[in-house]
Amino acid sequence: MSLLALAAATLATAPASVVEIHAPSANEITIQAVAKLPVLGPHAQKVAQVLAMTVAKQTEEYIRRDMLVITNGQPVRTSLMPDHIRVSILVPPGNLRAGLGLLDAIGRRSLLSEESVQAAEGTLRARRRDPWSAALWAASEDLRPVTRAEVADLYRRTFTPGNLTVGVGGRFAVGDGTREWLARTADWVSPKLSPWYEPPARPSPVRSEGPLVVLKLAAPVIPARDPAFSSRFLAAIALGSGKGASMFRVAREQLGLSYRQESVLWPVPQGFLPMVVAATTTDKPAAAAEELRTALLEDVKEWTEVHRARALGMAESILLRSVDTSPLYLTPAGPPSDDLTGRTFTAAYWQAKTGEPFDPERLLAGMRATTLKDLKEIAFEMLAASKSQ
Amino acid sequence: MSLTLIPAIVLGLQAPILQPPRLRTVLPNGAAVIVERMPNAKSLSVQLFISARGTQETLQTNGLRHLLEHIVARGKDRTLDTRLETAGGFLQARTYRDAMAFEVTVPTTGLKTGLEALSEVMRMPRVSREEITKEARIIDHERAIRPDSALLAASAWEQAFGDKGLDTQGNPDTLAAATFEDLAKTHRQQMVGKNLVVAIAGDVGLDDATRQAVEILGAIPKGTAADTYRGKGKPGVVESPGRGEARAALVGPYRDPVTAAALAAGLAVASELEDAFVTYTPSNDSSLIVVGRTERNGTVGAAFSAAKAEALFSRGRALARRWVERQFENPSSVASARGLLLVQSVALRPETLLENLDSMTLGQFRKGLAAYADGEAVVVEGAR
Repeated sequence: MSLLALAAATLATAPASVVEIHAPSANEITIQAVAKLPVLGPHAQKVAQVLAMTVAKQTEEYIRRDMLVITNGQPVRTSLMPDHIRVSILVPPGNLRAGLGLLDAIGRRSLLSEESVQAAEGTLRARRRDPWSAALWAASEDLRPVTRAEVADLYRRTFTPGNLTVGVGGRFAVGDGTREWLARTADWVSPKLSPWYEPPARPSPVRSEGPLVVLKLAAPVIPARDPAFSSRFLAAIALGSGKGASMFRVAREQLGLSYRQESVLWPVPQGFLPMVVAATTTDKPAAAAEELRTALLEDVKEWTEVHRARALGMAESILLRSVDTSPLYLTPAGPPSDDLTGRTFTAAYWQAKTGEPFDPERLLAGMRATTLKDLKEIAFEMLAASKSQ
Repeated sequence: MSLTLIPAIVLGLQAPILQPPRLRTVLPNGAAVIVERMPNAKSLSVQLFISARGTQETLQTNGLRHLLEHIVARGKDRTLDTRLETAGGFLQARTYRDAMAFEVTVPTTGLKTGLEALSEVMRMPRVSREEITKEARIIDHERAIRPDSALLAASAWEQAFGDKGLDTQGNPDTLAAATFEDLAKTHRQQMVGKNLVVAIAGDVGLDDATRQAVEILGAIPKGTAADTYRGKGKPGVVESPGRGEARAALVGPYRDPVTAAALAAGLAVASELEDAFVTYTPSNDSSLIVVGRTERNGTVGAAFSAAKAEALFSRGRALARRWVERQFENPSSVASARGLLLVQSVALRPETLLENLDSMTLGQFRKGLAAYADGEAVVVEGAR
């Protein structure tokens, strides 16, 4: 058996919770962990925000300065999306073991100190979400304080071996990332816990965000493993990715409504929430959203093979050439970055979300098989069924 | 098996030695082409840079370059994007203080398509008053969704350089009153050979790609466009509509060793802070490196006051090195980094910063750190 075949066999028998991306010429190793989240109510979402902000602050073994030594100064980053918490660690080549050791410590032995929980809550209270983000993530504001006990409870439920998918990318020997992670976490057992308790909601005042209004038309959720996911993805691209898309032509060119307008497949625990979003300035947002919906529906009716071909071309740019106009908003800032870290995160995320490897060619094949008639029907249904917000 | 493998490996090692990694060509009219070969790259980046030389904005013209960028990026019949996207390409445009940039990403076989698109954006299309007004309104929307970090940086620039550091987004009144003639004049002024660079990065042949790029630049008149400079910049305290706080180091040109040291120092101190941002656009002129947070609680100033050069020196160098190295990772970042520097001066290249970082002394790093001190830096006080 050749060395390569041996390496492939080793990887094939490894659990699906580790994904390796090899880049022998890379100047760093990127470690991307995805901890899936269940459907959370307003209060639990706030707890999750505090958890994401505190989990990598300090562990039993490492204070921030120790972490910066391992990473050669690059801060450990964490972020929250409705369906996951991400931990991102970049280390120099040669520090794979130390980097995974740090992730292990963050995953199992984070201190989540009272002080850091309070500081995170203070930051959240003062934070002004920009209107675009607020429109995408329409969580109702929760004014109840978050306790350390709640954060620690969610931590125990979320950071478990079965719930964590780890992506390792960069310069290291094939299989080393998987072996090192499995060896480190062999004694890590998922705790048995009672279901999460969500305290009853309490109404909260709506915070004004200034003159900018973000119009949003949100359609029913698409399951992550929807057999027609490729076609729906293509419909989202036809509607809102690129400057030949309906949103650009209608919202910007025809209605002169906005500078930024996109379609988004927003990750939620149940799958992906399709929506079209446009930032504008108007004192009649509901009327503007309806005007937008009507104009988009008229536009979709007129789609031809030219529109389908453009959407396919755009899909190739997104999936094969990493042009950053993908509707798949997998990070708070939009699509993942076009670098080793972004690719490693996408691989880990897709595995966690769908149970399958991320395969752009397969997605494209599904898109190419989508007829114009199907494409128009899907887009029309998405818009017709959407609720304006 | 091993007999056939060994020659292949040897050839594989020799290939990069036989062909240089990049080729820079300066045309008789002053325009330049740089092509970087990136074997096995999955996309091709074809970018056009137009220097702001000769079209530096005043209070009366502030924003015309940005508006012009919006107008020409649509192509001759406003269908350029649709045509490109159908061919698997994508166009993006940006206006910086020192240059305007148009980037076309295409499949590896799409060099001709990419260059044709750039050729199209080099022409001034005929646009009506109504179209100009609509685009000016779109820029209003663009201004409204700018992140706080951009607002904080814009305030720092205006404090440091006054009328020579105006925000590229533009003055809404100027944009509302802009005419076709205003835009055509700006277009004419900037379209001279010395102001133009085409940068290409991807799996292409150096000679062939250069030849094709020269075809679209060769006919541009040499013209005249004098260099002007912003001056040294002025420290001080400034309020900003952006939320948060920032400190901006006044630095010299990109090639200046102190610029490298200030970048290293800024990145090192930012790594001590939660959610800090660092903004620096490479320039051949005086410039700013802005370190900030979109929360205002005094932690940025405190972090610089507490910073110990000895403790942060190695980390700052490593972080700044990574900042440069990331620009070599894909065709888009390579063409962008090389083109933006080349359009400002034929002597500028990204590696200069790496060399300055490698030779950086602790004394220089201290100087870089001191550039963020009260009295030396621009202190931006944003909204709470």
